[in-house]
Amino acid sequence: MDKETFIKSGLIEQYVMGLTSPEERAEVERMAAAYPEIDKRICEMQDCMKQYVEMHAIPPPKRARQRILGSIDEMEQMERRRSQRPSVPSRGIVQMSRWVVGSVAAVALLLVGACVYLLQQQNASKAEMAQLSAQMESLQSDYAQLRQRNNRYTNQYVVLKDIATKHVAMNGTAHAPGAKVVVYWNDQHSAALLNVINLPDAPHGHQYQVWADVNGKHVNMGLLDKLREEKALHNVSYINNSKGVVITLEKEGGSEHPSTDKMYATGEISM
Amino acid sequence: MVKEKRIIQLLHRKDKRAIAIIYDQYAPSLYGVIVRIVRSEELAEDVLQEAFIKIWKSAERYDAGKARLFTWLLNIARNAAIDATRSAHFKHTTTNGDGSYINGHHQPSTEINVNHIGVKKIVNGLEGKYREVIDLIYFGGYTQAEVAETLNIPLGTVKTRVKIAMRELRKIFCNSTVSSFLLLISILSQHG
Repeated sequence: MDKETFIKSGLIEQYVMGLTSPEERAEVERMAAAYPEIDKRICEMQDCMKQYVEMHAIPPPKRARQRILGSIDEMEQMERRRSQRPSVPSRGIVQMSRWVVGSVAAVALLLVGACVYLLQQQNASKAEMAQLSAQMESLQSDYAQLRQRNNRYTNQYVVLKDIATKHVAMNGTAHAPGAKVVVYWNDQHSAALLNVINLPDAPHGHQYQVWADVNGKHVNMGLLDKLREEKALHNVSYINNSKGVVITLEKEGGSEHPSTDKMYATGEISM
Repeated sequence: MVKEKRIIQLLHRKDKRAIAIIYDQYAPSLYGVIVRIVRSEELAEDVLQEAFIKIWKSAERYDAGKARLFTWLLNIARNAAIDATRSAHFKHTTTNGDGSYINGHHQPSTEINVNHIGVKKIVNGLEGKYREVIDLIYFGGYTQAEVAETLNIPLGTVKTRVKIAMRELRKIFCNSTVSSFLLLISILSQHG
């Protein structure tokens, strides 16, 4: 902006009245520095305003002078006292802030530590849980097995101790002269148990099969489980009106009709 | 009267004599503005004290190249007064105050305390509508927007009136013969 336009703009008057924005103020001060005429004009107007304001002057109450100058004196003294030990409060603040930072860091560290610990604990718990559940599963299957066995034994026991149970002694044939098997027969419970005292091991690929003799006809009573532990009793099917029991050696899995040429033991059921 | 240069020297050195001289030389002018803005003598005294504390605290920051000492002092005093009117305390004070400084519809009293007929004549030479704008801003603590609203005129008109008013004042005061005559009168009236 050139000098004349600037003077006409009224910005100088605004500036002298203290009505300009910071940007406008900077502009006026820049122009004043560049043009002595503008600077002079500003000074003149400031002097005019001074005179105008002085015309409106009102003397403050007499006591105000003492009070105001006294308050500045007091302020100065306080400042001086503070400057004599200037670093004390600031150091206090620094120390306090260090304290705060330290405590915050410590707490943060503790929290992180706690998190790591808890995570580890959780992982350990998970592993332990998996182990326990595996153990539990195995125990459950063990228990089921034992329960099954216990049921069987209980049933067998009921049959064995029953006074009505007949003991059928089976003797070996020419194939196995030393064979000895006892059958416990109970018509009331419709139960038959086989107690193998002595019987040669069935050859590979073969299995013993038990038959009932019903009026000269052989009815299947079941296979002797090869895997069954030695001293256990074998549960076999009870067949009505049986006159006797026969054990034959059959191919593994059993046969529909007994191989009469391979009878290993026979016994008669007494009436 | 201590010369402005000397006062500035002391002020920059933070010599406490500066504040006493400033008080003796300018407190009535500053108080005149403050009391009209805050409209309470009691509050005006507090504001005057605040203004002097601010003057003392920012003494080193005064730049003689940018403004006359008086302009700088007046700006501090006016700002302190305007701040006071915007505080909650002020509202309380004025509702309970005697309102002796309220003239008409919140317009400041600008009665001139100089009784010399010549001065009055000269200032009265400034047309009423121009004086009004200057007085509302200087002694009312109004912004130009507030003046526009109060007088129900456009902001542009307010700015134009400020410009014309200042130019008229410059003509009145800076006309060499009238100016020196007036200065003499004002000095006499202050010391009288």
